[in-house]
Amino acid sequence: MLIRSKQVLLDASVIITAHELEVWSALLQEANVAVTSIIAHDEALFFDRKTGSVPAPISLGALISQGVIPEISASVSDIERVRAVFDEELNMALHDGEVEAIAILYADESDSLLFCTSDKAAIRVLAMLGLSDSGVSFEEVLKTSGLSKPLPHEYRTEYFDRYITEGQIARIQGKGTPYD
Amino acid sequence: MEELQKIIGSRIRSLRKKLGITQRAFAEQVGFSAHQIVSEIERGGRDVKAWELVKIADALHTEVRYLIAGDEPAPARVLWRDYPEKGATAIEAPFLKHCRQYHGLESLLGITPKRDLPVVELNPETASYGDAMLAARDVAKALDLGGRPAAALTAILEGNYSVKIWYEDLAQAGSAASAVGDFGYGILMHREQAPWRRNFSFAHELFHLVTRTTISKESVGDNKALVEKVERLANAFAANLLLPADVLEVEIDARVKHGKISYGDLVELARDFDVSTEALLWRLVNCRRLTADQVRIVLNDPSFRSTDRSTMPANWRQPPPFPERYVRLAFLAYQREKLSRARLAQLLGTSLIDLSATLLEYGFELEDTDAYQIETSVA
Repeated sequence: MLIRSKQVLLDASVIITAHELEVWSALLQEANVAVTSIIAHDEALFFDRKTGSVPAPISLGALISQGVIPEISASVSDIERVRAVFDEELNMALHDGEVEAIAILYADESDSLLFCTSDKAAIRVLAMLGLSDSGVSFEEVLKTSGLSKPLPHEYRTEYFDRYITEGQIARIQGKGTPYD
Repeated sequence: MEELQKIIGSRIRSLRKKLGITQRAFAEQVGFSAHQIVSEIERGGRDVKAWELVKIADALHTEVRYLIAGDEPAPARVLWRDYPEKGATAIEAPFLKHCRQYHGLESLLGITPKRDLPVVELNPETASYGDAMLAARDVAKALDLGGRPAAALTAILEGNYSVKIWYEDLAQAGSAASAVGDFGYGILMHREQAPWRRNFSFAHELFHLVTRTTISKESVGDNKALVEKVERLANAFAANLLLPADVLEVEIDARVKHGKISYGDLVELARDFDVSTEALLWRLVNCRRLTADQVRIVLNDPSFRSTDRSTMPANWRQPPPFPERYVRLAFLAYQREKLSRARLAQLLGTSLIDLSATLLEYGFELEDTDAYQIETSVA
């Protein structure tokens, strides 16, 4: 997988963990990362508890306005398209920020984006939509950026691949979305 | 694309108007710098960003998918105990959204109601208190509420009939409401009510749910006398449901000495059945064990009042922000990989960072485990 040539959309847990592991600044320098508009504007998601008793906000807004991280927004029709292939269960399963990321990937004809998530439900959905190759583990992103660190198991490639496989099986079984 | 913008814009306008929110107030709620932005969006003249759509959906107490796909659920029927003079729709909207999300969790987990709630056919014009009392006896039997109905009522409603029970601070807006919709049944309860009053309110709302086919907003209309009569029927139903005559008679007989019963025994009996002392005393009138005059005297006696107050638990437990069953289902759906962690946080009204702490308050530890998927044989 040519991660270095692609832009990596980071989900909320990955951003929080990158801060906790103190690799956030290095990651911004070493990898071509981006965030979805919903994640960029959801202030509630990002508070860094490590700074003390009063949580400090993770300043995604400032980084975006300085042009350090691009904010990518799905259009309403992109979201409509991906929601339309979800069954009722999948429509319930994901956060709007995750749906936006998947909608962006689903519409990305140039195949220039990857979604980095540690969430098993989101990973499964990627595979269920036939987007297995558009997902990447945080471990892989750090490795290719020369920032390898010991990680909790849900950020590792083994975990990511396990749920990609589960999603691929569900896709073959026609679960969640129409099999095409 | 433009066509879709127009369709979404008109859905937003329609929902905003239904909630009685002005464009200016709506702009403030969503965080737009000017109310003209709302006007533009509603006309379909402005592209709505995904993040804006999320904030708009939140402010309208709906979900993004309903705004986009337009498959807004069929309207639910809501009956208020005391119809709020202002803002009923604004209270109903988040309640109904919660009911639908609650139902969504049940569907994810394959949970269907074990039984449908019984139907009691009562004509509001001709029904008597005797009819309401008989209905209470039948419903208590059908629900298998046992000798202390208050102790079992909410657990049975939630567990067997998938009634979605939600608590809000309704201080200025009536004490309770019931709803029937595509999600099944819902009861909205005032959070700060004392437990014994809350139990009576649950039984009262149950009356509205079991009479759903014959007593509705439409059948009662604006006839104030009829509305009041229905509420009195619901109260008679509630008193009979929570204080079954046969069980109550046995308990009273065990406490009567030389034709008298002490204040202490009356108060203790009310606590035993988990109802207010007022409800108990009026029920004893109904069972012909006391007269109405006696009850008025007792209720006006400061000694009785102070005995009553002295046995009320000083710090009775307020229900948590989210119903425990709802949290349990959301947690289970997450463990079964049916929900993402971010979605779980969203459904529990918290952030990813605070999710663990929120779940711990309900007794759940957020640990990534496969244990929930492991199966064992059952005979």
